[in-house]
Amino acid sequence: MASLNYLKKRINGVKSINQITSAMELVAATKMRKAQEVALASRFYAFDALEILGNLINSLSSAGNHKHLFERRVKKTAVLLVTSDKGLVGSFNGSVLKRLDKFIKSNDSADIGNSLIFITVGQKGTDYVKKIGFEPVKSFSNYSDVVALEKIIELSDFLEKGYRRNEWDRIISFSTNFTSALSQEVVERQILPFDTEKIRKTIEDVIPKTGRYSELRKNMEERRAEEPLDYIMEPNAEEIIEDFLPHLLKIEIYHLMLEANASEHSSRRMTMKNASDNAEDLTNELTLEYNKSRQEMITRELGELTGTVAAITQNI
Amino acid sequence: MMNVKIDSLRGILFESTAESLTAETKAGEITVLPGHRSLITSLKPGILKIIDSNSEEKFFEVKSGFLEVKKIKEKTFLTILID
Repeated sequence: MASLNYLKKRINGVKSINQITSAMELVAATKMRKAQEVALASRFYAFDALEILGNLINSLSSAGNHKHLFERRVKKTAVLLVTSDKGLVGSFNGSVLKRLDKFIKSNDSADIGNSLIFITVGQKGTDYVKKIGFEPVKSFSNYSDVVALEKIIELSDFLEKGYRRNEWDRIISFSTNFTSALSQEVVERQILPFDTEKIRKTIEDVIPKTGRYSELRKNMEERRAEEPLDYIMEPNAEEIIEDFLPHLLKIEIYHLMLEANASEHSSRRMTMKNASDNAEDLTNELTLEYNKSRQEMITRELGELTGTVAAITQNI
Repeated sequence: MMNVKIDSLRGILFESTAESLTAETKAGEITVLPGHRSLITSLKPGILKIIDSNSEEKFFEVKSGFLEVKKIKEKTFLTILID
């Protein structure tokens, strides 16, 4: 049996851990609700914006303009990695990084140092990229709480400028999509060059397959234009593209980030809940053991006492 | 009648059928009626006016945004994105 003092210390230790994880659970739950609300509210906007982009691209590529935005020989790929700043989020970062590993392995390994460029959001991702021997060209942090649109502009401008200057020819993102409070999935998306097929896929990824928002799917299909539409562009195609594409890029990234935020907080909440539950179980177990030890000691002392009393009375 | 949907990042502001929509675009003010050709245009800061199916006027503030008109199988769909 372990000593009483030792058990007492452990019980206290586990109890304070429980207090901390419970507090973190509550904080994460509040943040999750907020992030979820914002992510869900902006979903419709994101769907429609992507849908318009899809239509626009369809009608443009048939016109043959602005080819560089839609097709490019890929020499360099920029990888946008979205993770959290802080740990204690369960498998949230791990699953994104696992997907990234798979992607890196699928690339030609001889030329990988020259062909991949990393842009990271979140401290954990930055650390990981450095660990596997790359230096991120730019790292962003503090995107974790519900991120404001203004903050995204810096990131999306950076991505767009690099693409325009031919610093990279393709942007692939690794992030987490929020399905529900209990499940989030890692998604790999091509952000630039724009590709109608891939955009459609993105939209389909984002629309939940069941539940409250699933009827959206039907709604979208009804409104979807199968043939390239013969758009009038006002004032002219040139200006629309100049206005629209950066805007869409911004929205796409904003939405991606909101989904990641909601996922992060949900994941943290679940992890903290598990930790609190475990701490509770452990406290119960330790308390039981503590009481047993205590009882054992009392019994032993009583035994000794009665033994001594018996010995003394016999002598008298 | 045409289907009009106004999206903002805070959620859907309007989704219903309407008789007409008037907006300030970068190329000038336009009014879209049912049966309009497919169109994409960017919006200028101003007021967007919708006459809904009950012939009531509805107004929305626009800082910047885009208007898409889709004509699919004789149906007209309008999607407006505003910030």
